[in-house]
Amino acid sequence: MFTFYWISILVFWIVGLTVWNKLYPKS
Amino acid sequence: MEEQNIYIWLIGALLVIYFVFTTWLGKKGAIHSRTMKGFSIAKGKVNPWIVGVSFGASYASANLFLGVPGWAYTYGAPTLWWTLGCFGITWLGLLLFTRTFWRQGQKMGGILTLPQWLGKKYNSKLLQVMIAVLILFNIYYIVGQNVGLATMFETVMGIPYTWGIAIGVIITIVYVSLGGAFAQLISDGIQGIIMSVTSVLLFISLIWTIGGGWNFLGKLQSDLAAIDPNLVQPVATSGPFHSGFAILTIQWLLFSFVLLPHLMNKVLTLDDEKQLRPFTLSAGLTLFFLSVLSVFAGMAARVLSPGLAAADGAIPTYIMEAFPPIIVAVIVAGLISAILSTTDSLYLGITSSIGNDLYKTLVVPFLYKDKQLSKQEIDKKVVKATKVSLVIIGIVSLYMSIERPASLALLTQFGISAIISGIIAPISLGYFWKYAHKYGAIASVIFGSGTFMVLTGFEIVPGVFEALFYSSIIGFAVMIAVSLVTAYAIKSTNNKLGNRTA
Repeated sequence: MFTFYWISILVFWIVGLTVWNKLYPKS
Repeated sequence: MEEQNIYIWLIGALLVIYFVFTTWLGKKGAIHSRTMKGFSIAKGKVNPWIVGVSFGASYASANLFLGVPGWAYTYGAPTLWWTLGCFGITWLGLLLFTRTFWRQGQKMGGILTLPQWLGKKYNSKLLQVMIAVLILFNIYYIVGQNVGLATMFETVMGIPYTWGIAIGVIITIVYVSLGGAFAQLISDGIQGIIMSVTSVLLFISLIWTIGGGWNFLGKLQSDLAAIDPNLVQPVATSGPFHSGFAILTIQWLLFSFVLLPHLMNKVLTLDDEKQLRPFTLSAGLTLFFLSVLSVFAGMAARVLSPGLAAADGAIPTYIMEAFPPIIVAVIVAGLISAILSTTDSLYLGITSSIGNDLYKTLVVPFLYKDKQLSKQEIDKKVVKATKVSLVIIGIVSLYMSIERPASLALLTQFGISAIISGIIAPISLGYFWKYAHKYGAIASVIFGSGTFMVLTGFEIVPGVFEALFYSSIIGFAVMIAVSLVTAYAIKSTNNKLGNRTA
């Protein structure tokens, strides 16, 4: 469960940063 | 007793420094707090990076630093679903909701509160007033925080419960009433940094409390499994994580949590679309540091001190065992920060709504209808009413906290879920659905929140989270149905009128 937790956090970082960069692009 | 005296002096000194600093901030923010716009959101006055940290700090409350590690103490690994959602799901919610909320708010102009945003969006004063009344449920959230603070003062410093509550309420009310949103955002920013340090300290302390060198998490896992194999399973046998569906409803809460007025107010603070990029990244980073680390200390407490009377005491007990007094004082300051940074936003959110959405729309037209008042004069009266209501709300929350409630976590969840179930459909459908109508929004507030209160009040559904999930569905269904019926009625009336004139 602990390993799954850290992998999930990494996945959320990748998904989150992708969405962030798409919705809030550099000006 | 000797050790308790050290704590009293160390933490007492930190509290005095804190009180002096926030009062100074309050004085500095007073310049911005003479108008309602300055007092309630301090628009454009604070750097977006700090506003992002403030979002994370207001989001992370006593629940995340005391309640959730308490769950970890009781249930073990399944609690990780909660902290994972606090970072990933909440951040995604913020990313998805922020842009449209900011753009539409900017287009309407002069929006200070979430009820006002909804009122303008649907062109309905009634909706604005209803949501403002619904926000009063956040008093339960404040009471939950007061209790967390007082419990910690009691455990670590031996300060009587009632005193602890009074200290917390007075400190917050003083700097919020002096410096408004400016003081609140800056002090949240600093509190967010102290909380991040606390989280990291709690996590790395496992190296020497649990042992096992760099493999301390592996050792924690085997120690927990030795106590009870269920502690390392992904789903618990009872409690909030008892099934896959229960965990799903928790993720729904953590996703929609972003829409709570005291958090959405931060988005209204930004005055340029370019600021949304740093704001959302800084909020994500803060959520990460505040959410995913401290939960392990709750599990470590289960290994080191099994048999605690109250699971909420897992962290206070753990830190006294794991750290020397000076570090304990820093961590307690971090926990106090977690609580105060949430309550200051809540006080500001509730009272801004009382002033801007209730007093200004209901009382001002009635009291001053014969007098010709300029906009500035009205604004001054609204600011004054807001500050008076701040003191009143402070006293009410103090009174409600004196009798210690049975469960801190449940009280908090009840208040926020009652609000979310009423506003989720009107906000999210208003973003993109062209048939979203004010009658639908009003019906959704009544039936969404109403369903939640019936389900929890009569204990029809076992958990608060599942009740929120069902009442959100009802909220969406009612809003869609009423909006469609209204659209159809308007269309057929127009057709009849059209036929008549033809």
